[in-house]
Amino acid sequence: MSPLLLYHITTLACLNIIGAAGYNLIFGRGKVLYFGMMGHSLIMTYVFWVLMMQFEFAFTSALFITLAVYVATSYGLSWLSLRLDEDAFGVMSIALHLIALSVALNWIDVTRGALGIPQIPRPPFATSPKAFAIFMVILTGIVAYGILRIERSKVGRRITALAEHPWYAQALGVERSTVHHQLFLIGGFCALLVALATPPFLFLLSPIDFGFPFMIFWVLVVVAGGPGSTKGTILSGILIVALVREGMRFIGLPPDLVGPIRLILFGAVLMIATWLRRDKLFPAQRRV
Amino acid sequence: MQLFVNGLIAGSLAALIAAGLALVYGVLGIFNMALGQFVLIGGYITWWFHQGLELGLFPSILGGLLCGGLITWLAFELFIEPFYKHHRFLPLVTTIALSMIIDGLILILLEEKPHSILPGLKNTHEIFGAHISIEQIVLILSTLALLVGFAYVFHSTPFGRRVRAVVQQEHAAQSLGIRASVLHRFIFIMSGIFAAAGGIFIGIDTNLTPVLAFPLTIKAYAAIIAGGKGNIWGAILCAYIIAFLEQFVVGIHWFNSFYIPAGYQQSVALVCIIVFLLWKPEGIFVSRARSA
Repeated sequence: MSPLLLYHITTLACLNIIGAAGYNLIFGRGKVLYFGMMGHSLIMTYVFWVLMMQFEFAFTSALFITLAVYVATSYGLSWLSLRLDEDAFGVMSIALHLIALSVALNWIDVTRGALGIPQIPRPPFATSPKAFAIFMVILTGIVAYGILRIERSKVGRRITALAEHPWYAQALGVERSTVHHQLFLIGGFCALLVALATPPFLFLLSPIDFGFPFMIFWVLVVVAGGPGSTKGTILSGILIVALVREGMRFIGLPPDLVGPIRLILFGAVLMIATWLRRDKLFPAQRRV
Repeated sequence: MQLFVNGLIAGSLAALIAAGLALVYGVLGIFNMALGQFVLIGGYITWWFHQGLELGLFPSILGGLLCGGLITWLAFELFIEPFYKHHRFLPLVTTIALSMIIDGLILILLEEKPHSILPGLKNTHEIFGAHISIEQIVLILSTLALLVGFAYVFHSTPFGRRVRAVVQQEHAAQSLGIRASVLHRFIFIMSGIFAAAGGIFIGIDTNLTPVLAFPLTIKAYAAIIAGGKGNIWGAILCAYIIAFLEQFVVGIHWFNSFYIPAGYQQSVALVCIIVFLLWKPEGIFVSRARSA
């Protein structure tokens, strides 16, 4: 394996682990039926990089506006999750993602549509593939450590309690609205990191990289790693990216078959993982 | 007038798919994210019978419907039945997995090329200033006939009464001797047959391509959310309304100053989902569960 390919796979795995770790907190641990994480990332990606590249905002101004959008959208999603039924929120989150994608594809004057915005710069300290990969490994390590700390903190215990039994948790003083705000702020922060790091990695901001299949990829990583388990999510993220997503290139299949077979493999892994994790994904409530 | 006719064609297709889905949601309370793929399966199998094996159109359509039903039944046994009693959200994940597997298989077997059951130019006729082909008229009328037949079975036969009893109060229906598990299978297979009919509709009217699947699923969900989850007639009516909206939103010169780009047409169903979930989450036509 060439070093360049190793850096590529490492960076790709890190990007997916950051996204999936945040998603795991909402979907895996919090049991909130939510499929809008990639859409959330898409919105923040476009806000930041369009301001930077199309409107030539300074980095700090663009970042400040993106942070404001991050807080507003995270609170918005949290509010929707509190207002709607669980399954209705799941469907709503898919709809929001697809609408954001539709705007990115059709508002050509600003977003350049399917062509995307090229020449996205990398940070000055990580211009080479090796430096970028190392930067991403460090960033992923910090995110993973942070989420593990959150899981073991009061916040993590409240999230688990609310997911396991909302009534009892609320009776014991856990506020559903506070927990949901915290969940979506933490998950949204991971989506923000993905938003800031993906286009510089590819040197391109393309709506195709934020399609619904990429959201399903995060679902797959979370379910395969064990819903609620950050360590499992990290491990499954590495294995699925390295072996299934990128490893498929090296088994000598004709190029036109790689995509479809990858799709079938993803579907099969998701199915098997759901079968194996059916007690953990949406568990029956504990009895007192 | 042309926009109205286009809406009628698109609405008939959406109503066909949404009717089966509404019944499934009403009875099982589950989301089937592979619905669009079931649509394509029915269309592609009919295309293969007609174009590949050179069978007549009617045997091909019957074969497409039969195979569509059979594959839906297999999908129920493997991807729904082991999960939905465990938790009703699990099939949402397993049907996403199923949709990925079917998409991959379609891409391997048929590639991304468009396939038409009746290829070639269709003769159109002008009716009240709108152009419509004979095939499209037949498809609209067939859909109406199918929905009327469905209404008759659903409302005027002992079998339909059993189905409605399970929709309204499953436990009470079971205590009266109705075998709910058999009805669950039957209803899911029926939704697959309706979806396959939708695929045949697309294959005859235009072309079948793998990218159609997901937008069809989303449109059907928009109809059942707007119509009231589990309310079949609400879903059918809203499928027509959403289809008309899709045509008019992008087809009208708004305030004589601008057009909405055609790329936003698919977003109409998405906006309907968001608006209804926020404004009227129970849908326009609420079906209330009976309580003892």
